[in-house]
Amino acid sequence: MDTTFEIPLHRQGNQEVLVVNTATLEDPTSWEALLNVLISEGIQLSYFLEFAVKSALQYYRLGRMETFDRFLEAALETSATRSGEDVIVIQILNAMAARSIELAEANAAEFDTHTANATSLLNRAESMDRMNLLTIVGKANLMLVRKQLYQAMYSFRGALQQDANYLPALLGLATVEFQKGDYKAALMHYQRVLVLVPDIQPDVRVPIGLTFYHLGMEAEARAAFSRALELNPENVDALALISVMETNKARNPSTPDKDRGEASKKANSLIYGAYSLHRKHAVIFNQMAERFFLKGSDNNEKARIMAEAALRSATNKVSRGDSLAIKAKIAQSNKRYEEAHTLFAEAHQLNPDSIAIQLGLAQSLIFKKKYTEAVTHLESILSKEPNNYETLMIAAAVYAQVPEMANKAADAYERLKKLLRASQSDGIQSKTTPGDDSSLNDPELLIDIARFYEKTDIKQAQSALERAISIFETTPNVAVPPELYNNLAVLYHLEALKPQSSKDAAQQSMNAAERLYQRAMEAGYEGVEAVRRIEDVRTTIKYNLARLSESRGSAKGAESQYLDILKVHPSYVDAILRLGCIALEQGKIENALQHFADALAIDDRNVRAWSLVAKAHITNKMARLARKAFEKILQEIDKYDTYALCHTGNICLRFARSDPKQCDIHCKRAVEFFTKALRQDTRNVYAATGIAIAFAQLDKLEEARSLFTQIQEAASSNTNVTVNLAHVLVEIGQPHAAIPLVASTQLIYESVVKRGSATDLDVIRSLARAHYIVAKTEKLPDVMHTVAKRLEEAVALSPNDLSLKYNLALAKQQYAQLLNDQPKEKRPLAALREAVIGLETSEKIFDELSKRRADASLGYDVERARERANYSKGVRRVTEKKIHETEVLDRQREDRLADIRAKRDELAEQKRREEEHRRLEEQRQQEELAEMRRRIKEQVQLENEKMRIALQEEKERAERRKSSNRGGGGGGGEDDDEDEDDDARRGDSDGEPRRSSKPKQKRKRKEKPARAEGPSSDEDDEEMRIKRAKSSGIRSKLSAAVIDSDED
Amino acid sequence: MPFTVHKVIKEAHEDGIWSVACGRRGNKVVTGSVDDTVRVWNADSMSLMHTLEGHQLGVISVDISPNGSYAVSTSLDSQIRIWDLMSHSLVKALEAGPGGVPSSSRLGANRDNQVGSVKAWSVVFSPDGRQISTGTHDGNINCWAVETGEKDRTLETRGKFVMSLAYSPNGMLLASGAENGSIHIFDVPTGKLLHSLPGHSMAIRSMTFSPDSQLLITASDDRRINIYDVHHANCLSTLAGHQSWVLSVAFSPDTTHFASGSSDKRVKVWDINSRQCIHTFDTHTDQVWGVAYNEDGSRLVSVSDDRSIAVYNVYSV
Repeated sequence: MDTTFEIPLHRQGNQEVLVVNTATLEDPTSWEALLNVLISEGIQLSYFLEFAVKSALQYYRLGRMETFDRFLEAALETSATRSGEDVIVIQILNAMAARSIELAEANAAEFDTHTANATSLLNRAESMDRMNLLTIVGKANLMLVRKQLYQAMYSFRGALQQDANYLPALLGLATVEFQKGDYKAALMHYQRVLVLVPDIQPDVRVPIGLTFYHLGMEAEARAAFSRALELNPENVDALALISVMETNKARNPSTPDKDRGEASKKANSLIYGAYSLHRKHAVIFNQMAERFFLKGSDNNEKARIMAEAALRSATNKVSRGDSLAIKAKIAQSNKRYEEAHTLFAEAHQLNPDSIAIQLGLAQSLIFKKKYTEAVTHLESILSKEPNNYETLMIAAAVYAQVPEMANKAADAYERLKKLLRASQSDGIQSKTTPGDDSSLNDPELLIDIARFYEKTDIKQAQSALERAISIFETTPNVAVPPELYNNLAVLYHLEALKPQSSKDAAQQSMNAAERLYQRAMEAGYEGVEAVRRIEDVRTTIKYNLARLSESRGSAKGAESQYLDILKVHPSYVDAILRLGCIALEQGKIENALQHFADALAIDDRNVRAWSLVAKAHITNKMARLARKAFEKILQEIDKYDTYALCHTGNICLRFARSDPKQCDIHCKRAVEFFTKALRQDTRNVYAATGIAIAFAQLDKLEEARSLFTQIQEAASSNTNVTVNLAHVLVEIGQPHAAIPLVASTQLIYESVVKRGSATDLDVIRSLARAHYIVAKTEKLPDVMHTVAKRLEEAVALSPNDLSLKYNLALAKQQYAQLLNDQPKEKRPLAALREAVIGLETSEKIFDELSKRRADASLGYDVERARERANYSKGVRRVTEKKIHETEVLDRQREDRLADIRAKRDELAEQKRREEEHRRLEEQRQQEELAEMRRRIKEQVQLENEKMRIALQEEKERAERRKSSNRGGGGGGGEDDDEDEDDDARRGDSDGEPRRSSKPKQKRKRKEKPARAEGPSSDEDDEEMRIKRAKSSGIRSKLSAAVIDSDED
Repeated sequence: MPFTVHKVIKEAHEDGIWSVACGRRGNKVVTGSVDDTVRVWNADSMSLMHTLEGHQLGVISVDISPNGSYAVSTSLDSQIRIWDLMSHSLVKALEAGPGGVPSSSRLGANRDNQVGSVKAWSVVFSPDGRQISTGTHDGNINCWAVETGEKDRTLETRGKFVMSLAYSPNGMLLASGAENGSIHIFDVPTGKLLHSLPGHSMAIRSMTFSPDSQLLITASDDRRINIYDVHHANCLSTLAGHQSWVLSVAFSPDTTHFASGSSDKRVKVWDINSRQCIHTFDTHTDQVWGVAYNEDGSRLVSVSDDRSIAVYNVYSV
């Protein structure tokens, strides 16, 4: 740089020269003198400009731009008196405009005045020369500042058409493209500038590095910055940016640990170097502020000062935004959340693209419970960086907070888990298998996951919490917060309360819960400030322990535990409410209401207390009082309370049923309440069911059915819905006699009964009703019989319900009626007799029922009962007649049968007698024969005797021996008889091998007549009896068969 | 194992079984069912000895006289029938209707019974065997003389429907449980109401005294079993464990246990000292309406809507 200027003084052609030594210009007053000389001597305007620029350069570092302004303003003033120096004037105007634009950029508050100023200056320049490139570019720059990017781009391109290598236009265009985010185009233009003017100041390598950085080419960016630094070691921009890069590298979780420390150190030294070089650079201030902030809370003040300094010196929005963000963070760490929020909001406005700022803004919004706004910010971050761990975690937590976004939360947690697993498998220990929570090492995430799942999936929540606790336990010097134990215990407790958990499992869970509660009681915090907190936590744990006693059925123990808590904290509403609940459960409704009133005295806007009051009234069957309590909630506290809405709807439905005249109105009101509830919670099964019930009540059965079907698909385990669906199906089936439908609903009911609600009266009643319809339409007396049996069961369950008795009587009556209508062969006498007894029962029940005073609460119509009683009489007469008929028929049949039997018997008898006769005859003949033989024998003997006597005389000795032999043969005659007897006996015992082919009985019968008369007749008698018994046995079997077939 | 299932008699009745009683003497078990019959079983073999017919609606309650010679049963239509367990014949059919005139005719007794509002629900023999008591719809307890079939006296609870009754084994006290959960204790000699015990909010379907007459155990639809100190009229403990209505309780003669049956299909055995459930039988497939111990407390019988009778070995631990 020259040290002296020679300014020609145009005084009457004199060649006088004003020599200005730049060394003297160090003194501000000399500038004043110089300006005065320039003005008074009428020196060319170009010198004004030159000195202005020089002064600017001279004083830029000191921030003294007044001289610059003075020179230019003076030049402009003098230009008014001169002419022919238009080009210079335009240059001056442009310089002033540029200055204004710069001021506008730096000073947001006076942005408008400065831009207006620049606009007027540029307009003046334009009016002097429309095609001046400088002016065109100046206007474009103004547009750029006003963020009119496309117009600016258009202008810059226009300028470049005039001069393709016009540097300001090239730079402007590059800037526009950079701001538009078209980094490739920007890079191209910057590189072109670099080619044209390699040593351009300020170094264009810095923006080139920035575009590289934005294109994700960090190595190239670093190279560009380094090259800029090489050329000018004092290029603070380059220094600051490299330091930022180093800082980011240090913070990146994927950087290996040792590199991290190095990067951090490097960043530190760079930033301090830059700071010593340039004490007013905003980026450097920001960096410094951030460093201080990260050093800990003691340095917050320093950080704040730095940030404010940065804010003062910052000229562009991004760095201002950064400073504001740092200030916001400081405010946050100082617990001034409101301030933090405004700062973040401001910063976000200045720099909407910064993820860090947006995240901060989202967090502050979350703190203000503006979840939906927070979510939009978080989602916009996630759309830019889908794998941002921190953001995902926050987003998941927010999703979990807002019920409508619960499904998104599940997604978010899955993504988080995947991310963690991915980052782990990238790392050294990739041993863990996917799908296993043990790979999660972030206790906070685990706790978040646990909190999210605690409502939907207790098991998953449990495992997450257990893992978190074990991480805490294994980490030295970290005590497990008692809340974690408490929460895990609560999860176990909840699991035990699940209806599907078995008794033993529940017991185990409860034991686990108790152990954990105890551990929670023992666990403590460190530090003094924790004393109060631990007291709070312990109170909660005590309350939970009391709840546990309650679940274990020890109401007394729980009661005393609640009272203990209340001694210390008399306004612990939850404990009071539980006392009320215990009383309610024990049926002490007055007592319970007193407790609830106590709770309401402390907090009269407690929705739960009001709900419980209503519940007590419902238990007490005081529907109107209950509705009042719910109305209180809906009108004064929370008009969107779904519980109250659903219950009010239910009460309306109840009114609709008891008040048939205004049924429609009540139903419509009920639908309104349910709809409101549904609007709040679109998955509310109760509200949906309520609407469907109202439809059914209004006889819109098809609508009701489709609704119930939908609900049932969504909540298949809800038996209420199933039962309601069945009800509607029965109703639909009835008019069209769609029996298969009704029959299938029976199956539904039965499945409901099987599912363990055997004591559910309504189900049994409905089942009976479905059976009744089937029995009536299909004319099946046996089904009616089951109806009566089911109703008897129902009566046993609820002996006080008179309508059940009415129905029972009706079923008995209808049974008889149906039997009467059966064809003859299908109504056995036994069933008819049973029916008559049933009719008597039925008549008596109706009679008794008809004597009661008419009242809607009876559940039946007294008048109808009387009619029914009379009708029963009528049916009984018919049945008795039928019995008579059947009896007569039966008797006739029996008589006929008896006749036939008698005839048969007679025939058999006759036959027998004939045979006997024949046998007797035979015997007689035989006997006669034997007699004859005997006589002949005797005669022969006689003859023989005679002969013997005659012969004896002749040969006495020899003949006598012979005759003695003969005499043995004669004794043998008697022996023969005996033999025959013997034979008979043998035959009886062994059967006769010789005559085995002959049936035994025949032989026996043959035998009998040979015996004495007495026993034989006896035996006959016995045989008869057996026979008769047999035939009667057959008959009873027959009738049984008839019954069977009937039953079929 | 001290607790085992000894035997299950399937299809013991043609429909659900609602009540059971074990005889103190004579070794008989009597069951009453919705199939309108009362059946008498041999307690050892559990073989059916006799089926007593005559009830028209389901048999709600049965009891056996202390000397084991009579059984009494009530049905939904308020018939009270006294049976001779030796001859298996009907001794008397009492009409629990409004007139209260007993019809002692053996034949055709089922022709002229008064039905309607329930005049007799559960039935128990007094420990001296001379009276039977029934609870009624209007909150009264009617005591009938077994000998004559006359109504001896009426005790008034001025409360709701009396669903369960129990005499203390020493014969001094009569407890009643109502549909709304209230419990009344009467002094038997004077007929005076001694105590009203709070504690249940729903119907009490069964109650039993301890053998020493000191404790009263109640089973309620509120799923809880309460143990009361009778003389001080306070509730000693509330036992939860059943997941549905508790339909029946019975005290073991060994004085240390009692059993309960519930709509949750389970039978539980409880220890009176620790007041803990010590065993759960999961034998039945439908609600358990009745439980009863045999004379020495070695066996427990339960009856259920699944038509079966289950017999368990329950040796003292």
